[in-house]
Amino acid sequence: MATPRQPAIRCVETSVVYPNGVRGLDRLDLEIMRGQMVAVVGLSGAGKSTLLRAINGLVKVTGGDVVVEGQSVRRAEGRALRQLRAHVGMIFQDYRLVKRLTVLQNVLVGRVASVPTWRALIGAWPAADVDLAFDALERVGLADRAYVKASQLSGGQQQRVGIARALAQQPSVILADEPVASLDPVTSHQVMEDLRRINQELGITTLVNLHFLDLAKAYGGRIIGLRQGRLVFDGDGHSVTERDFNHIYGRAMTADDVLEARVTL
Amino acid sequence: MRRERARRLRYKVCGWLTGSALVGWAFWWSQVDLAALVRSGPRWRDFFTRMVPPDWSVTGVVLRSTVETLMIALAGTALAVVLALPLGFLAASNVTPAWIAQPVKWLLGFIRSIPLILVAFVCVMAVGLGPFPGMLAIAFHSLGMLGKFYAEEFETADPGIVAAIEGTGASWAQTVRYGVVPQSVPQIFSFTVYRLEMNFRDSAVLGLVGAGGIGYYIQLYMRSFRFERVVVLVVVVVVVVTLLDQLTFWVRRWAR
Ligand SMILES: Nc1ncnc2c1ncn2[C@@H]1O[C@H](COP(=O)(O)OP(=O)(O)OP(=O)(O)O)[C@@H](O)[C@H]1O
Ligand SMILES: [Mg+2]
Repeated sequence: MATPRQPAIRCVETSVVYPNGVRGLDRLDLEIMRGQMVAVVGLSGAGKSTLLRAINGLVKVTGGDVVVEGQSVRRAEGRALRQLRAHVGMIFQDYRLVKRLTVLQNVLVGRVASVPTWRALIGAWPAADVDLAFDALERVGLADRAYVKASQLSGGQQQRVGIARALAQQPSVILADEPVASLDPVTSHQVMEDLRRINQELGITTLVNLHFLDLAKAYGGRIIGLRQGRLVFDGDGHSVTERDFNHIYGRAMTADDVLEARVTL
Repeated sequence: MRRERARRLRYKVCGWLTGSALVGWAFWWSQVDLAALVRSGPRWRDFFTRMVPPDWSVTGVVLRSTVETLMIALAGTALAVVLALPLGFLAASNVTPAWIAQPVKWLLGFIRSIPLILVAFVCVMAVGLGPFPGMLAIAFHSLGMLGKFYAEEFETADPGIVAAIEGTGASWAQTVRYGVVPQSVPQIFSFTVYRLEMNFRDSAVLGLVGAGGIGYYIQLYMRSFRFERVVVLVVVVVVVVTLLDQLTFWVRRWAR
C-alpha cells in the first residue's frame, strides 16, 4: 500500500514558538520516507513532543511548514485539518484512554472522523467500523478484552489499546510520544515489538520519541537527535555510536539513559 | 519571621472582629426580641394541642397534591437537564472559546439569581394557574444551577484525553462526546438527582402563587388555622422527603 521513496513527512524550516516565547522547534529541516520507522531522541525539553504535535497540528507551526502526505499542516484548518489528523494516529506515554469506556469503545474513538457525526454521537457504529476496531484489537492481541472497561487493564495492555485506537484510524503515519516511558522493561520491549511489527506489516510510517537510547538503537531503523529544537543528528540506527549520543545529549551517557543498564551499545 | 507572625495575628484578629460585628448587626437587624419569645409559650402549646387529633380525612387530597408536587419537580428537572447540557458545553472554557463561554456563564448566573417564587409568579401570569407554570418555573430556576455545575464539571475533564480525541480528527461535538462527557457522567448524574430532590422541596412554595402542588394546601390550612390538617400535611411531606432522600442516596451510590 505504501510506496517507498516518497516523503510521508517533510519539515521545511519548521519553527514552533509557544505563546510564552519558548522556542520548541528551531528551523528544523527533515524528510521522512513512507514506511520508515524513526526514533527521535534528545534531552528533556529538546522539542521531541513539540515535533510530534506539530506534525498533526496540535501545536501551531509559527515558521516554515510541515507537509504530511503532500498536505500542508500550517495551512490546514477546520475540516481539512481534521482530515489530516484522521490519517495520523497518536500514541501517548500516559495512554490517554477514556477510562470509563470499554476497550472497544476506546478503539472506536479512532473511527469518529470517518463515520457520520450523529452515529458517533449516539454510539451507533456501522458494522464495518466495529470490524475494523476488532481487527485493530487482534493486531495487539486484545480482542478478548473488548468489553472490559479500559481502567481494568494493566499499563501495557492500556498502551496496546492506545495502539489499537491509532490503528483503527487506518493511518498513514503513527506518532508515538514516549510510548513505553511508564512501562517496565519487559513490557516496554513487547510494546515496541508491536509497533515495529505494525510498521513492517502495514508499512505505516512511524515516529517514536524515546527516552532510552538502547531502545532507540534496537527499534529505530533511523535515529534523529534533537537539541534545543534543532536537528543535531540524523543517522542509521544500527551504526549509531556512543559518541553520537554524547553529541546529541551534549554530555556523556549515564546508566539512566538506557533501559537495561547491562546492555552496552 | 517574628514580624510576619505578628502581622498574621493582626489579620486574624481583624477578621474575627469584622465577622462577629457583621453577625451581631444581622441579629439587631432581625429585631431579635427575647421577651416576645418568652411570652409566646402558651401559643406554641396552643398550636400543638390543636394539632391533635389530626384530621386524617384530608390524607387523600394531601397525598394527591404531594404527588403533583413530585411530578412538577420531576418534569421541571427533566426539562432543565435538556437545556442545561448544551448550555453547560457552551459555558465550559476547555471546549468553548472564552468569548462564548463567559457570556453563557453570565447568563446562567443571571438565571440562577432570580428567586424561584418570582419566576413562578411571572409564569402564572403568563400561562395561567395550575401545575404547568410551576413546572416551567422549576425548569428555569434549576437550569441556572445545573448549567453552572455541568460547565464546571466538564472543565475538570483531563485535557490530555481531550487533546488525544481531537488528535484523531474528531469534530467539536465528537470531542465533547468522547473526551469530556464520559469523564463527567457520574458527577453529573449524582448532582442532577440531588437537584431533583431540592426541586421537590422548592416546589412546595409554588402553590403560594397558584402554581400547583402542595403549597396550595399549606396556605389554605394555615390561613384558616386548621392545625389538625396542617399536621397531616407535615407528616406526609416528611415521609415523602425521607423516602426520596433514601432513594436518591441509593441511586447516587449506584452511579459511582
Ligand atoms: N504548551 C507549552 N507552552 C509553552 N512552552 C512549552 C509548551 N510545551 C513545551 N514547551 C517548551 O518547549 C520546549 C520543548 O518541549 P517538548 O515538550 O517538545 O520537549 P521534549 O523533548 O518532549 O521533552 P521531554 O523529554 O521532557 O518530554 C521546552 O522548553 C518546553 O518547556
Ligand atoms: Mg515530551
